Amino acid sequence: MIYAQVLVDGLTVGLMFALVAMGLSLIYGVMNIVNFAHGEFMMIAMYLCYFLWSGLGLDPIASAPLAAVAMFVLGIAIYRWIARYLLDASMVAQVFATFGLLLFFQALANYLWRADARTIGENWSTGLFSLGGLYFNGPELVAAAGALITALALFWFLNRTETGLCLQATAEDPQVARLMGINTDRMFALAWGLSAATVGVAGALASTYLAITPLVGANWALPAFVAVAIGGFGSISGAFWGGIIIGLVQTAGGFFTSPSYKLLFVYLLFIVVVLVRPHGLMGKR
Amino acid sequence: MKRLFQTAALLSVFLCGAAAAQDNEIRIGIMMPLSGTAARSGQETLEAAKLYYDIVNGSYDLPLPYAKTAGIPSKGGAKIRLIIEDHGGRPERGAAIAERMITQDKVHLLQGAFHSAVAAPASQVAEKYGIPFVTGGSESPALTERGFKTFFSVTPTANDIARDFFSFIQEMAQEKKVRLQTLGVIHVNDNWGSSLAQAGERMYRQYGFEKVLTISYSPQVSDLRSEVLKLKSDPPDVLLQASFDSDAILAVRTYQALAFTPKAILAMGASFATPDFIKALGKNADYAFSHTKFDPALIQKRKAAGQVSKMFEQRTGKAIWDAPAREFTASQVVADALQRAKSLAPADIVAALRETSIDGADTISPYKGVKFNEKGQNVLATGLITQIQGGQHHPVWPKDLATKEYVFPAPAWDKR
Repeated sequence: MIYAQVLVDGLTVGLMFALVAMGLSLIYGVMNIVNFAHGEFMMIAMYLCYFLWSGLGLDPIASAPLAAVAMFVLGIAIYRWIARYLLDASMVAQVFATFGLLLFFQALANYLWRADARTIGENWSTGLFSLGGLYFNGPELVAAAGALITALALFWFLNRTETGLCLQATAEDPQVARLMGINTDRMFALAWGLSAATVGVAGALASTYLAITPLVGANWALPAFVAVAIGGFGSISGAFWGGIIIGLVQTAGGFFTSPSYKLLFVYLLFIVVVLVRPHGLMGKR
Repeated sequence: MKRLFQTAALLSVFLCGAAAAQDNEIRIGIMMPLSGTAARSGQETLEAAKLYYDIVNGSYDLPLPYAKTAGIPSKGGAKIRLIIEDHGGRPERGAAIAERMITQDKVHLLQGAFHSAVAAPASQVAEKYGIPFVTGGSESPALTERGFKTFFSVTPTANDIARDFFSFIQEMAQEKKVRLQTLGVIHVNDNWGSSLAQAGERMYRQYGFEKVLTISYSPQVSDLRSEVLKLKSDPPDVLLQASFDSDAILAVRTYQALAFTPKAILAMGASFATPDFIKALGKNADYAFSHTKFDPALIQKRKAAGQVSKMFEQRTGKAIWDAPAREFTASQVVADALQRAKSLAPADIVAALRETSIDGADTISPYKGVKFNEKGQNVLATGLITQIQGGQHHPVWPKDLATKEYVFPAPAWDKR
């Protein structure tokens, strides 16, 4: 039974990784920019949910849509004021700009809210139950379900709406997309907004069970990068599966050997993928 | 040409400033984790050192040495200036910070670093320059085992803490007639955390355990599931834990989520003793044991503790706890040595530190006192073990400082 528990836990963890990774992949796919501050967007969303909960008594699950909207706006603002100027910049400038953003947000959070580990107390998702010998933790289960729903919604938007298809066309080739009459500037902004919104939802979901500190996002960004690399840079569905794989590999690898090695397996897989299939499992060559 | 003049003018201002600064002040370089996983603990620990040196620099009516007089009396009332640096918990920064503080800021003494992993390289640099390094809270026994000439550790080490834990576990098991087989140790994978695991692995047989299961993890984690599943696959009777801030909360939440209930959890270091820990976990924080070097119960036994804790609360909005209290006492040891030192030359300060003899009653700590052995370890450092009951820490061991009876074994998570 403990093996089934490993599987369930791997999936729960993996779905959250998947959601975070999808947002990261979105910006990269459309703009070819790696947003190093991606985890910090998540951290800001978590603080937002915390303050909505502590100030207004709003349940973090209920504030997930609010977090999505707020982060959407923040994402667009970052695009307008910063990312737009990086489009034709050198890669070094792109890395430094988004990495600078990471440092800025971490330092700002440290300054504004100090490093206290804040936690959201009893909330709607709080609870434990066991089913057929398996243990489930309410908040994490709700988070995994929420991640799945958000991921499906994102897939639907990208593949079934006109705007979503325009976004994909822009990702494919911005110049041709422009010739076809697509306002690529708006598409880039949309990519940043959507990316921030998805990670905002992830933040809201994670805020029910994780301690919130200025560094909390950084712990998510690295696995997300690996998930994107495994799944294939630029492929949203690749990022999704990459996240799931990481969750499973990390949990199972840690369980069957020693938990000290759990990240080792993830990075080992990462190296193997990079060597054998550099464009990732589902990425385009 | 104009720019040249401006630069020269600016430089001379700096130089004059530096020269003036050298005369009537004592510079202490203090490095703490003000960012990173232990940032909150680090910030509050720094605040305690600042509080003590403010007391020394100003004039306060407190039952502490040098409170009433301003500055260090034997050094013409010299004021102490703190040079503060954030190391973010990163060992590689420790050495660089120490180097800079010694060569550029010309500090008389170094203090810190909270993380043993940072104190190790930093104190190595201090040893090279012959500058004294005093730690109030870095618990790795490896630090003083190096036998440095300029390194002084006021705190009990992980060995002392493990010994306290084991004696206490043995006492509980005998009193409650519980047979203990497996010992678990879960710890962050730096040298402070590993030192608890090493002590556990060395001592478990001697205290009646049959086997030991050690699990290390990186403090930068977003989940601890495989760690806890591993523990659950061979559930230990008693769990020793070394964690930082947010990972400690995550760990206990995961124990609960996976219904892993050891008969007792005993935590070394700051995390389980912080007010945030109880706030975050509510009733699930109950029954955890912490080895601590401060408890409000000490306010009755140490004459300055009550006022100090009030002053600390005014500054930070939080009650003083383990790590800040230890840094406060370490700062007191520093001021005491500065007062007795023949001059402010590093060798004289080191010599004075070596002759330190402070009675525990004159501090705010539960230590029997402060007296260093030839390796610079305080041999009178002891702590107490508290248990969280009803959302509050209560000293339960040693018996003479206990205010409550301990609960053992801990009830299962769903029976609380």
